[in-house]
Amino acid sequence: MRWRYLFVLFTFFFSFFIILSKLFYWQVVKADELSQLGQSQYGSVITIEAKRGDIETSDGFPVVTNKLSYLVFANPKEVTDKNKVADLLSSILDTKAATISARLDLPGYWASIQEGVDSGIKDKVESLNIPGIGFQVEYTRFYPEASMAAQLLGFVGKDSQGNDKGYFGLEGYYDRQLRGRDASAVEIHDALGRPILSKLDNSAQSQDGRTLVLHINRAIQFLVEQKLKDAVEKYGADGGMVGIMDPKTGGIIAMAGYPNFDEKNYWEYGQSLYKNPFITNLYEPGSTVKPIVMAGAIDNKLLKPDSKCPICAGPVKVEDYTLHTWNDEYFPNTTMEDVIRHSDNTGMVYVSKVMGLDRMLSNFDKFGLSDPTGIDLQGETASTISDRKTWYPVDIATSAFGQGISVTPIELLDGFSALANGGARMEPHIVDKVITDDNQTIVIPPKKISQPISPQTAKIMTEMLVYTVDKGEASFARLKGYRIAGKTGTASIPVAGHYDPTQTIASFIGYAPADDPKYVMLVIIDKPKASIYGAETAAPVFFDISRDLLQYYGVTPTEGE
Amino acid sequence: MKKTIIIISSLIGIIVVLSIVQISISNAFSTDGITLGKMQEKIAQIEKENMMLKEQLYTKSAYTTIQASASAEGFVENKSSIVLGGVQPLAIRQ
Repeated sequence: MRWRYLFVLFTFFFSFFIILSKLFYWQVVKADELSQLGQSQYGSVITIEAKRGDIETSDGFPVVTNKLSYLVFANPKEVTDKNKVADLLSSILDTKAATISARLDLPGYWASIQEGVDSGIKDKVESLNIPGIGFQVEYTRFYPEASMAAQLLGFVGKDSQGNDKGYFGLEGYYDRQLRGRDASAVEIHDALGRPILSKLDNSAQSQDGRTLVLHINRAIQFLVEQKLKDAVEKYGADGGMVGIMDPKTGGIIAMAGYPNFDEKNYWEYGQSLYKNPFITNLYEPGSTVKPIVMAGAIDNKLLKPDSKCPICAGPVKVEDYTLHTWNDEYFPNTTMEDVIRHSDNTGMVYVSKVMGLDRMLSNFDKFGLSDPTGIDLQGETASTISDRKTWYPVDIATSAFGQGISVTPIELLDGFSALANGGARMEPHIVDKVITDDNQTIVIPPKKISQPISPQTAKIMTEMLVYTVDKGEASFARLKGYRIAGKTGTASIPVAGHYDPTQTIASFIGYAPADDPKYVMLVIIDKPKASIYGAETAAPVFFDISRDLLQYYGVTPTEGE
Repeated sequence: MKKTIIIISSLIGIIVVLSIVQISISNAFSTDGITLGKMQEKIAQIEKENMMLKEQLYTKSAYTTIQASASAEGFVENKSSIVLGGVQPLAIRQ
């Protein structure tokens, strides 16, 4: 009797154990898989694609935004006459028939035919009613101003997973802010595939990318790009670049390089054009660095604007080298003011001797000529000032007139801007504000990096640079009636251990109006053929752009003439 | 005994009422899926039109387009500008 009782009890327990085990297997071990299987039977997973953020200029105009486009795809198993379909599609799409045919021959149920198809073309393909051909909505980058500021903006390509990724410029630097976050949701539908009124089961909320509002002024950027292109063609130069910055905030108002590329079809251009030369190209700045060296000497109270140069009567011998002025004209006992005005190399050699190596290096460092500026663009490079032990007396002498040291244009523009801003050097910035997808505005405040010189020295330097513009080599191009501070530069290009006598990098740097600067601008013309001098190439471009800028800012002439 | 019958009757009654309510609500909702589908289609259509209009608006208001149109219409850049430097009288007594 007892064994029967035990048998029944055991059978019950065993049965319960089997049931519990199976339940455990379904509910715990296979829970996710079965849940997904269930969902796929009564619903479908839809991807809520996050829109990449816009990039707007200071007037709120989107220079980069998204446009609706389509991915044309095929289910090769459903396409019957593959050759005919390939011919039909290639007559409408921008893909060869052979390529389409090859994709239709692929095994599997899904094959991509073409991405980024416009709405009009999609409608044409749709009207053909080809079985097995479908469309998927996607967003592609749209550039209303075409290739404007391409090197500044960068472009969107694909990463190794096939997802959108920003490269170079702002697209690269702010990729994580711009890209947003996709989300997936399950939409429940009935037997006929119609959606059922029910809460979407969102696993995560999608988040659109953030919008960047730039300091870049669209009108000025447009103007600068046109003037630069005209100048490069006029002077038969290899290229050129212009950077304009607000010295008080560090906001970049315009930044252009020529030649340029088209972000929409970036793959059609050489990779060297993707880089923004204004932040990546190292060059010897030549005479444009003289005001920075002079400012250091005056700020250290070693020299005054009327201090005399006792070694300027002729070429100066330093070690085994003889250093000349650019035009072999010499001014005995010239003042420091005239050293800058005449761009006198021998005068600058004297300044370097007065300053000495330590003060020279410290001055370059304070003006930021040896560090990246921290500009918010991908790919900034910076020169490194070599160790003080490796400096020979001739290196110190030539660095005072901008040879033997290298800088990027942004380093020079930012360092020079301190002269225009009471001696304070600001961090250059392209983005002014970031707008989140829930419309919160994050303002990026101006950041002071250093105070290389005092406001008094900045004022003295401004007067010297106004005098240079009014009476110097480029005075023929100046704007009458305006006080503009500036300096020309003609830098030789080092080639295989010596300087190329026929090719130069011509430049002009300056700011206006001198007493309350609205902007500081650097113009660089690379290897001009018409004239090798900055005064005859870069300076006219600087003043031509300045004429329009001063008018744009509503600055009226303050002097007669 | 009577009490038990009342409880059972009440429970059956509640079950019947709830079943009727559920059938009514399900019946009312059954056509909403179609409405929802139409609404989703409409939203997608409006979003598409909105994006296409935006695209047209941005293209037409781009400086590159405006400049090309201006050149085609024969407009040229004005190189001269007039500046009124000093304080100008509003009216002059003669």
